[in-house]
Amino acid sequence: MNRQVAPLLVIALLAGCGQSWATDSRETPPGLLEAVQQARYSDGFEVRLAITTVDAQKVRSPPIKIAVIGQASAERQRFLVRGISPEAVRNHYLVTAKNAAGPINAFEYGPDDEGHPISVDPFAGLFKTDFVIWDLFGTWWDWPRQTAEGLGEVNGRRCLWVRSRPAALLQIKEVVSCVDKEFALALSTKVYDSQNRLRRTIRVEKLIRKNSNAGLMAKKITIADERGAYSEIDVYGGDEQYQVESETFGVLERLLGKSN
Amino acid sequence: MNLLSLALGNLRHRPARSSLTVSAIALGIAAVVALTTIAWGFEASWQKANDARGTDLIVTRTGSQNAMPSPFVGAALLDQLAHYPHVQEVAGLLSEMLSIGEQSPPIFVFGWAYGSYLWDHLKLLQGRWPADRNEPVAVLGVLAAEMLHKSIGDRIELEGQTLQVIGIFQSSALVENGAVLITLDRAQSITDKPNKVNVLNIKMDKTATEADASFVKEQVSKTLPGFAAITSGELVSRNTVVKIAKAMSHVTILIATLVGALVVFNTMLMSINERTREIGVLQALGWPRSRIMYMIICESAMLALLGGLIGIAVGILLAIGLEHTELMRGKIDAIFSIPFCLAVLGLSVFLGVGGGIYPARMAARLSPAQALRHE
Amino acid sequence: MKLVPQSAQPSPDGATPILDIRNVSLHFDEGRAKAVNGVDLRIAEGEFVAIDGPSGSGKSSLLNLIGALDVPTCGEIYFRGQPYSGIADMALFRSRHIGFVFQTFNLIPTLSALENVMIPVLGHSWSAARQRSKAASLLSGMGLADRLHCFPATLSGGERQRVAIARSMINDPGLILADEPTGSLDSVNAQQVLELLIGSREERQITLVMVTHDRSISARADRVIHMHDGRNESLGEGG
Ligand SMILES: Nc1ncnc2c1ncn2[C@@H]1O[C@H](COP(=O)(O)OP(=O)(O)OP(=O)(O)O)[C@@H](O)[C@H]1O
Ligand SMILES: [Mg+2]
Repeated sequence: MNRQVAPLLVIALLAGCGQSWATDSRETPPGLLEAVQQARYSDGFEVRLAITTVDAQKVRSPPIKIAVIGQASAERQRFLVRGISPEAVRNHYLVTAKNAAGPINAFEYGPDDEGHPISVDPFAGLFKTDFVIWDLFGTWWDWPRQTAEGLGEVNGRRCLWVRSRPAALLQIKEVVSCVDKEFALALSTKVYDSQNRLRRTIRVEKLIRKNSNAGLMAKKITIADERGAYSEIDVYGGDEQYQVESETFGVLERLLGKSN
Repeated sequence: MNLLSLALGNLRHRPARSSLTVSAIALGIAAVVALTTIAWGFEASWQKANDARGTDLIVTRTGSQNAMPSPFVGAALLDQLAHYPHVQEVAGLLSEMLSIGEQSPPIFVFGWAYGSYLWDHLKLLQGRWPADRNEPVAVLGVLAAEMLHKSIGDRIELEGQTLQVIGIFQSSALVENGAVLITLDRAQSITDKPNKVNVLNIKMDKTATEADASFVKEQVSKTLPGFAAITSGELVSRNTVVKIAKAMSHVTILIATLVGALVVFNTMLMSINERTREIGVLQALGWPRSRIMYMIICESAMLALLGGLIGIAVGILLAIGLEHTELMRGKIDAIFSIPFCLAVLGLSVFLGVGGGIYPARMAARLSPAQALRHE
Repeated sequence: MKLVPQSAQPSPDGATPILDIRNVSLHFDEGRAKAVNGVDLRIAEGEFVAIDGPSGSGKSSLLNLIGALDVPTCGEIYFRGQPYSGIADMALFRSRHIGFVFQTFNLIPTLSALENVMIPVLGHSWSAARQRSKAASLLSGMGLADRLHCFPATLSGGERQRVAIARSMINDPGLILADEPTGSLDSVNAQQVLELLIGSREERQITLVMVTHDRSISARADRVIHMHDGRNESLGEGG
């Protein structure tokens, strides 16, 4: 299965501050990492996505629409995912958060059981799609071992391949991304598991200009698995300056408060 | 007999080649006509929507490059704008392209401030208007109702919310006829943009002049950093889609002209080569070089003119066809004006004459004795 | 155009000849091919001159020079005393004074017989009606009254050449130049065409210069010019 919608949001939609690079650090991976991290930060954003799964026989599933609200800073990232349609996912929620050094916490709850959220695996696909919560956080950008692997090209745009490896052995052993240096945007992200198998390839297929500044954001993303099935994610709406209210993440904060 | 009938005869004498040339030109001109009318039509239908609403000025975020400017919280701004002289009313508006159901292509969904002047220009054909700002209902433009196969009492699902269709309206603007209309509050809740609007529309009172509008524009740019007041025409022409469509139509015009001229050039060169002896005969019989040139140019201009006429017809059909495709319905308003058709005809004649000049000069420069020796 | 005699050389009988060809040459390929090589010839008004000679001897080239289709390498031709080198608009000159008949007819395939005949006067100030009626009457004179609207492809060789003869006369030329006009015709048709050409030029007193290999034709000319290697040798009176 191909899994993941989340990465795109984060990778692509938060690319707000792509311009903040110093010119002299452009060529060096350290400057790049900072820029990519920077680009992910946001006081609040919302994107609405339509996810279509295409299996290895090229059969397309009906689209699942979800909304993702997010907030990210160096200290903390949190996301709220809301199912829009079809009926089966409507008003089903997923809330997830991660502190700088902490683990990812994720909970799911339906429209009627707000009191009984269940904890979910951040490596699982969301609403049975290929959208993986873990990818949303871009954890690999914090990993200690980052090496530049030379120039590449994704959908006609030049980018720099960067290999990221964690300090300790994790479920994911390696992430290789191709980063557009001008916009600090990963155009392609390959995720390898502990057996060194390629789990998924996340590719930005279409870019559009952002409303708020000169940056670019992803309009269309595909997440392909190694067997040829893939998910197509179309960003059809959103708000780059979403107003996060205190209640927006209320359920999440109550859950985390309880579990601590 | 005159030069024109002679030129026509020459073209008719080589039907295959003449019709191929005409088809090539027609194809190019058809592309020009279709793309240009669509580009203009897109712009015009937007413009019409704003004009029909009676909107004089539109306040948006500056730097908005897309058709739908990025949303912002409207309340504070609205108050300030309402106090400028001659401003009669300020109305907030939120619009998005959304797909309704799984199969249909995205269509415009407009959220208009309940009770604002925006609603006034619409003609209710059936049913009623929303009763309050929060009623979970939608009214459909005639075209939208037809495209979505919905009538009064049916339900539509917008971003997970179910709304009842309570009215069907008609507007003088095609975009609106193809749109789903809900109250601003409904739109804000559906798209999770509480208190936000895309644009604020300003209606000036009857005594307002151009200068009053300019004054508001100035005030906005001075006192509201990050915002600008523009006329609907300005907004539309800044739209990326309109810009791209226009750029495409310009490129098409350029390419079609070049290709058309080259095709004419090639055809006439071939024709002259075949008719070298004939041209020698005409020279021997006392035809001046100018008349021979004129004859060749007449021929190429006629090819291009015929190609242009056919191209315009095909292009108009193409544009009408496109206008009625599911994807484009209600979004463009193809306009065919006589001056536009004349301009395109002018363009085809221009490319015909352009492509014919060199061959014509070659023909006129032939030495009669040599031309007569030509087998 | 005014035809003012300049260096007109009166012929021995005192009248200005229609054509005065003085030491005219036409060279090709920078002198390697001498198509016409020093021809001296005077042709009187109303004369019928036949030109014969072996193939490649320069007959057609000489005719082209006389018809102002080519410019001599050296020498000068005078038409009624006017030197060709002084004529600004050769096309206009041809359309006023010269008629052409070619061996291969050279009708315009996209035009009817009537229209073909009208070609030389298209630029004249004549009304369309006058052009038509004149062309029609010439064609009737050639026995083609019922063929006016036929296209060349539907006419026989003899008929085509008769259309061409009508065409050569529509501008009331002083001079008709005919290059082997019967060369592509069988003897019956050749005879008929020849009679029409000679007959009508007598009637209108047009000077006729005709290239022909046919001895029976040259026998009817007032004079036969024999061309050889680009030079002419007059054989004196025909008949
Ligand atoms: N444009 C030209 N370039 C080179 N040579 C030429 C040209 N025109 C004519 N000639 C040469 O000049 C010579 C005379 O040619 P012309 O056509 O006048 O002969 P002709 O007497 O009419 O022969 P025919 O009886 O075969 O028609 C020939 O050797 C021909 O090859
Ligand atoms: Mg010859």
